[in-house]
Formats: sequence, C-alpha cells, structure tokens
Amino acid sequence: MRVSTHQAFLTGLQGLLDGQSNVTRLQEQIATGKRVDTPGDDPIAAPQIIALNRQIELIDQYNKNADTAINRLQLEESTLGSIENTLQRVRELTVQAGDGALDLLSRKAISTELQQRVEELLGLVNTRGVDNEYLFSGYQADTPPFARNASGGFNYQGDEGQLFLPIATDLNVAVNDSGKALFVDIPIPNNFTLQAAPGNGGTGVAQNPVVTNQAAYDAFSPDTAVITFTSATTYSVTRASDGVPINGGSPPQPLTNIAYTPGGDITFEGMHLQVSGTPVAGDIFTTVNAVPQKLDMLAIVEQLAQGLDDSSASSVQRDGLISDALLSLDNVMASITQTTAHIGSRLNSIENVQQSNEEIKLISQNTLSKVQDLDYTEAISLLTQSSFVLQAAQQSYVAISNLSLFNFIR
Amino acid sequence: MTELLNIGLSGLNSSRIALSVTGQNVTNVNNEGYTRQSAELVTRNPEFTGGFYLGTGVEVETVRRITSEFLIAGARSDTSVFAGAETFSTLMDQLDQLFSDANSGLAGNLSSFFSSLQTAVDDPASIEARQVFLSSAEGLAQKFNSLHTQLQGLQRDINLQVDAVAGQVSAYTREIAGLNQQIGIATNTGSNPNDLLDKRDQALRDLAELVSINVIPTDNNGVTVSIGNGQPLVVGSESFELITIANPNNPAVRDLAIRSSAGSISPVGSGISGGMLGGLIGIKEGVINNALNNLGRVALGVSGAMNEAHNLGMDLEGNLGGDLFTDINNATSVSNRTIANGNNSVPQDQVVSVLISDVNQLSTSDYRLDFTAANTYVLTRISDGLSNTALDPSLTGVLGALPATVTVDGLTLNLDRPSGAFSAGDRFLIQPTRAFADEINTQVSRAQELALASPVRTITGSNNTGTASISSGQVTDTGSASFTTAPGQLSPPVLIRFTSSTSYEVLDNSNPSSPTVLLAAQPYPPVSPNGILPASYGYQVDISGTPATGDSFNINYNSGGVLDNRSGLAMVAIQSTDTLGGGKMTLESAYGVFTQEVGTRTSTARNNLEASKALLEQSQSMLQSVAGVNLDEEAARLVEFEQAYNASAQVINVARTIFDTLLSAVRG
Repeated sequence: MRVSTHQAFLTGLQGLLDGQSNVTRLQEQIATGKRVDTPGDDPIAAPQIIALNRQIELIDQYNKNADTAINRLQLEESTLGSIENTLQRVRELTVQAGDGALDLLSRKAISTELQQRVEELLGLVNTRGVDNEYLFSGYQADTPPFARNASGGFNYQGDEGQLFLPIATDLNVAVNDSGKALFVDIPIPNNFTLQAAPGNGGTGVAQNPVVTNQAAYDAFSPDTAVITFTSATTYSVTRASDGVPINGGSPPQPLTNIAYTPGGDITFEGMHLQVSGTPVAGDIFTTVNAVPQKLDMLAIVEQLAQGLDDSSASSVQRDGLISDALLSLDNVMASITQTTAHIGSRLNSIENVQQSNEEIKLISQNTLSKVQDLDYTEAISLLTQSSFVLQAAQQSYVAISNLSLFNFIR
Repeated sequence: MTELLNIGLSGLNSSRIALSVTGQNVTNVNNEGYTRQSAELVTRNPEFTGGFYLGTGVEVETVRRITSEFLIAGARSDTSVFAGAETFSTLMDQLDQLFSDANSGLAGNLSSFFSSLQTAVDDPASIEARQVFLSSAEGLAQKFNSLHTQLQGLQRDINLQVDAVAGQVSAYTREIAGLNQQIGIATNTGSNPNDLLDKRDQALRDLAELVSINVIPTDNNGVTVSIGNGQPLVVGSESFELITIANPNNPAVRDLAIRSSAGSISPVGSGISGGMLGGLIGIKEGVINNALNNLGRVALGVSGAMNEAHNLGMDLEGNLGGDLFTDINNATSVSNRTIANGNNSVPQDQVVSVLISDVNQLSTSDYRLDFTAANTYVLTRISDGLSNTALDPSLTGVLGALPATVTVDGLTLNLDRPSGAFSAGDRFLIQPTRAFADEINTQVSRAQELALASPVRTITGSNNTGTASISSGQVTDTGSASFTTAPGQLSPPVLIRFTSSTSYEVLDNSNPSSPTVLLAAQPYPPVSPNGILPASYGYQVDISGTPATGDSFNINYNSGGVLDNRSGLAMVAIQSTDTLGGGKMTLESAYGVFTQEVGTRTSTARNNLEASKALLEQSQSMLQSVAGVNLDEEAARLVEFEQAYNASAQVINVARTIFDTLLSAVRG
C-alpha cells in the first residue's frame, strides 16, 4: 500500500501520543491507588462501589447509635443499682424496727434515718444524665420526675415516654425507662376498714382494723365479715356471703356468742379489730375491703417513717405497718428488678447487633477493595510494559524519520 | 533539423513542466489539504511528411489531480462523526466529574444530611446536634441549588458555542459558494483548477467538522452542500446562513434555522447531526435537560418526604413542626412548571396548574399538553412519546366542564380558563421536575424549631387493674381540629375509659374532674393494631392486652416533651424507604442510579470516540495513500525528469551540431 510521507509521520506521532497517554493514565491510577475514579471509568463497577460505600457509612452510623445507647443504658443501670442499695438499707431498718423490744426513742432514731433515706431516694430518682436531662421523666426531660406535694406525698411530673434509637434497619432499641413504670403504681398489700350499720342503737364503736396475716386475709377477701351483737355482752362473727360462722380467736373456735370485752381484740381470718363502748343487741358492724391501692416508692418509705414516728399506735398496728411495708418494699424491688432485667437484655441484643454489623462491614470493605482498588502488581507490570512500548515508539520514530531518498541524492 | 529542434524543445518544455509539478508536490508535502499532482504527458500530433507520419515530440496535456472523490467523501463523513464524538465525550467527562466527584457531587451531602439527622435523633434535647443537622440540611439545599446553577451555566455556555459554531458554518458556506463561482469560471477555460479544488475540499472538510453534510457534485465542477434532511447550505454560488431562533414552545430555548439570502427562515428541526454542532446539541437536549430533571426529582423527594414527617412533629418549644424544606407545591414552583406556547389563543388566560400529588410516581420526563378541540386534549410524555390512554388508562382525552382535573405520573393538572373553554391549537409544555433543585431551600433555621418529637403522648391510669397497655401515640394529621383549634394544646385532651373488658368510651378530658362523653359504647377490638380513635381526630393510639372495667388511659398534648424523638425516627427511616421511582428507589439510590447513567453514557462516549478516531485515522490514511505526497517517490521523479531534461537538451545539441555541419558543408 502506498504511504504518503505526511501519513508516515502522523502514524509515528500518534503512536508516541498514545503511548504517553497510556503511561500517564497508569501513573495516575498508581498514585491514587484506585482503579475506578469516576463512574465513567467502569460503569459496571460504579453502582457496586456506591452501594458498598453507602452500606459501610450506614453501619458506622448504626454503631455510633449503639454506643450512645449503651452509654445511656449503663447510666440507668448504675443509677438503679444505687437505688437498690438504698432500698436494701431501708429493708434492714424496717426489719430492725419490727423488733418488739425497741423503745420509742430507738424507733424515732430509725424513723429519722428512714426520712434521710427518702431524701436520698428522691435525689437518685431525679438523677440527671449527660446533657443535664432528667433520666426518669419520660419525654419531659427538663422537668424533675418527682417533687414533694405540699399536702404530703409525692407527685410524678413526667410521662411514660421512652427514647428509641435505631441500631439497625427497622430495629429501634429503648434507651431509657420512665419513672412511672419503675417507681409509681407499686401495689401495696390490701387492707380493710370497719363500718357500723346505720341502725345501731348502742354506743359501740369498731376501730383499729389491722391485717395480721396478709395471706389469710387475701384468701378470705373479697368476702366480708359481719359482727353481730346477739346481746349487749355477746357477739357473733359470720361471713357476709352465706352467714356461716367464722372461726377465730386463740385457740380458734367458731365465733358464736363470744363474751364481749370492751376494747378487747377480736381476731379471725388474719384480721384484727377492737370494739369499745356499749353496744346493744342487734348492733351490727361489718368489715369493708379497701380498693386495691398503689403507691409510689418514695411515699411507701415515707409513710413507713411517719408510721414509726406515731407514738399513739398500738403494737399490733405497728406490726401491721411493718409487715405491710416489707411486702410493699418487695414489690418495689420486683419492679426495679424487672426493669434491670430488661436493660440487661437490651444491652445484650445491642451487643449482638453491633457484632453482626461489624461482620457485614468487614465483608463490604473487602468487596469494595476488590472492586475499586488497584491491583498494584498488575498495574506496575502494565506500567513497565507501557513505558517499554513508548520507548520503542520513540526510537522507531527517530529511525524512520531518517529514511529518505533525498539523503542519497547529492 | 527544425523537426529535431522542435522535438528537443518539446522534450525540454515537458520535462521542465514535469519538474515544476514535482517541485510543487515536494514543497507541499506537509500540506494536509494538498492532493498530489502529476503532469500528464502525451505525444504531440504527428506530421504527415513524405508518405509517413513523423512524431513531433511530447507535450503536457494537463496537470492531473490524483485523488479519489470516494475516499474524500469517506474521510469527510468520518471527520464529522469524530468531531461530534469528541465534543460529546469531552462534555460528558465534565458532567461525569460534576456528579460523581466526592467533593462536588451530591452524594456526600445526602450522606452527611442523614448521618447528622441520626446524631440529632440520638440526643433530641441537644441543641448542638440539632444545629449541626440544620447546617447539614442547608448545605444539602445549597448543593442542589449550585448543581442546578452549574448545569444551567453549562447549558448557557453550550448555547453560546452553538451560536459561535453556527456563525462559523455560515462563514464556511460563504467561502464554499465563492469558491464554487471561481471554480466554475476557471473550469470554463477548459482545465481543472487544481488548487481551487483543493481549497474547496479543505473548506468542505472544515465544514464537516462542524456539522454532518451531504456533498453532491453538479456540472462545471460545482457542488451542492446540504445538511441531514436535505436543507441546502450551498447551491452553486448561493450560500445560506445558519442562525439561532427562539423555540415557539419554550422561548428560553434556542433552535437552529437556515436563512436564505432572500431572508426566508426555515427551522432545521432534527436535521442536525454529527460534527461539533451535533455533539453540542446532543448534550444540550439529550443530557443536560435530563440531568436537570433528575436532580429536580431527587430534590422533590427530599423535600416531600422530609416535610411530610416534619409536619407531624413537635419542636423543642412545643409548636407543631411545619415545613423543613420548601413546600413542593408552593405557588412559585407550580407556576414555573407550565410554559404556554406564545401562539395560544387570546385572551391568554388559560390556567394549567401542575401540582405534585405523589412524589413516588414522578418520572423524569417533560410532558406536552395539546388541545385539538375545546374539550379534547392529547397529553404526551416526551421521553417515550406515549400519550393519553397509552400513557395512563385514565387519560381519556376528553375534558368535562371547567375547572377540570387530569392526573398522570404523580401529577395533578388543574385546568381552567376564566374566559370560557380551551381552544383547538392551545399548547403547553410541562416540566414538572426541571426547576425544583433551584427552588429548594431550608425553612427552619433555629435549632429549637426542628421538630423531632411528636405532639401527643399517652398516660396509663394509675389505678388500672387490667393488663392492657397503650402505645405512645401516632399523629396522622396536624391539620385536624384537635391541633389547630388552640396551638400548644390538644382540643380536647382525651380520656379513654373501659366500661367493661370489651367496650370503652371516649371522653373529653378538658376538665379532669368532670369529663364529658364524646363517643359511648365503642367495642374493643380484640386484635391489635386496632383503630381506637376515629380518623378525624388526626392521631391514633393502639391498646393491647385485657383491660378491666374502670381502666383508663389519657391522651394529652406532649408539652415539655424534649427527650422525644418519634418524629425524628420517622425522618431517619426515610433514608431506607423507597420514596422514588414507583417505590423502587431510596433518595440516595435514585441519585446513584442517575450518576451511574451518566457514567455509562460517559464510558460509551469514550468508546465511541476511540472507535470513530480509529475509523477516521484509517480513512485519512487511505486517502493519503492515494493523494498524499511521498518524498521518496518525488525524489525518484526528480531524477527521472532531470535525466529526461538532460537528454532533451542533448537532442537540441545534436540538432545544432547537424545544422552547423550543414552550414559548413554549404559554405564550402
């Protein structure tokens, strides 16, 4: 084929330019370490790279959230631990106060310490977190969860909200618990009151109802007892539901036509009461089962302290107070333990999720590296080859440009 | 002797001319547009003397141009293809860089937008985290704005370039027409004006670099030049100009047109292809408009989804959230979406207002609405040309009485005309997503006004004895009377009380000591989720478990709820929700798909460039192999003709010698 001189030089020149461009491109790849710089470099790998980068970023974000969640939960856990310790001390004091040999002064000392413990518990439930937000107020983290009520007791000022953090797609974990779920609405043991029938003629008064055996009383209720004075000096106690006489007293005997002693103890089915005054035949007194009540933790301890302080209480009433308090404290501890268990399992699942996230991230990073990163061995050997080709093009250009017939026509 | 002398002279002449032609070839060796010439030698007419024909020597018949019209045409069309591919590829590289670069692209902004949102959601009471998110949101909006501006800037630059290239085309057509005239005159004198032909070929080649042309030879060595669909640029010695005019459907767009010397203008339409113009127009119409639409759709997705969640939320100051970004159906945006044709019937009070009712169904195409009669229309999606029922079964093409509504692809078109009905010939161009990337802005600047919480909360009654529990509450419509009657309050706060374990009543708890019944004797559905409250309330709760008689639950306004991130969680969930493309793409993947398309087109453009370059090199080399000068060949010719010249000179010498011999013989 005939080749024009101009074309010959052009071809040689093009070879030089192409060689240079190849070498430059390889140089750039080696310098950045990346095989794919923009989607135009490899449109098939590009969407893979984008997707992998996005997944890795998302996992990093979820792990950050998980760390935050762990911090919050651990703070809550340790605060609850302090509260449990204080409650243990309260329990010891309560048991101590149940010792019948204590005198008024000793009981007052216990009551004083119990009041201090109430203040301590108030401080603990109003604990603040990292951003000075109240831990146990639910959504209303700027408001202290518990505050003293002017007319006695405590008000819960927060709500039942919980904060959830996303630790994986479609997986949110709660990082706090409201004070309402933990410390408010603690069931306290059931009690009863006494009622005189409206048509009573005498001056008898029924008073001082105390539950002496919670299990027996809980078994007896919802039934109620009717104390009927068969004469001015005898009374019978029957079940309101069917009129069957109830056994009571010590030693236990059917309470039918028992001799009446004004101010004497009448005991049956775990219940204890006294009648004083002068009833007449036909007077009726009934027990009334109180509506099941709930109190918050602080009120329970405070009422215990105030009850111990009351010098007018009988020893039976004190015993009732102590046994009620112990049962209530058990309920408080149960509520706290339940939440602590929840926290434990949440921490567990966060740890599991974090671990699996890390594994996914590692796999993604490996894949990303395979797709995007340069294989240095391959690239450097290509660079060597391209440099060689460029060199050859340069040398051949010089050699060919010297060939001309004009050199020989002199 | 005279014959010998003349024969020798003729040889001398011819050799001299041949040497000149060779010299011409040698000096033009590097002239790309030059076709080599060769002196054609023929024997002169013989003389009839004394019964036989005696030769009279040699003469140069003509200087021939050695080339191939076929190869020239081939090289010319390959030049057009290559120039077009080069222009297209360079601009595509620019776009590829713009969209995918880690620093200048949008993907980084989207990613940091969502990650700063997660940080704020982790700690909703923290002012700093909220501020960081708001800055990130503003950065995202600004990135949309700046990408839009850059694309528009690129479009403007391309328009300027098109104007400039059109001017160059006109200059070349003038030159070619002039050369046509000159060549015609020269050809009439009997011979080919080789250098003028070379010049014209060069001009044609330069013109082909700018736009694909068809060249048809006419008599007298003339050519007719036309572009793709037959519209002429040069006819004989008459040239036409290439100019830009405003597009009647969209005055912001400039189209190419051809203006004759008499002044009549005819639009070029789709006849332009190849060459720089083809590449520029391909980018302008095919790529940049598509990019603007795609960008706008992602912006609409961000704004639409975020606003929906933010509107249902409550901020740190207890106020309802409102819009986080520009509302997608604000008045300015809506009016920018429709462009009425300048030739529509008067009075031009037609209203075609385009609202976006479902971002998820949006396409990235523009639409055309043409009225063929007062109440008959044709709605066409420009990307694939589907119209009316082929586009969507609900598009019957017939309108009822005005005002009327047409819905398609997530758009709701409200049509009206105060002065009566539409007229046949009314045309509208609809660009639903084109402008929003420029219009998007953040609407919240104070950290306290970021709505991460929910405006309702629930409380379980303290004395409940059953095992029922209530969900934390979910807002469905902050435009309902519950929220709008008195800001910062639930109107009314609600109490749900169970009259038995299977039925409940809903009470107005404005006065907690005496709640009034709103809904009595509602059956309690045993399976959750259950719709406890009517939809008109604007919020909903779930109750599960077994309630006891007398159990109650309160629903209040969430005043003071600063550690609440329920609405924030909904916004975070948007990142992994398929909010675009008919429920197939998340926001980030929609942008990713778009950049990948750009990448694929860039890679294809690069491949086309390589291929067309190789083809051009090949056709050029084939042309050069016929028409190019080979120095070695010319050197050999020089030697050949120099020898011939010397030989002819020697013939004259001999003629002189015989003349001298004759003279000396006669003189004696």
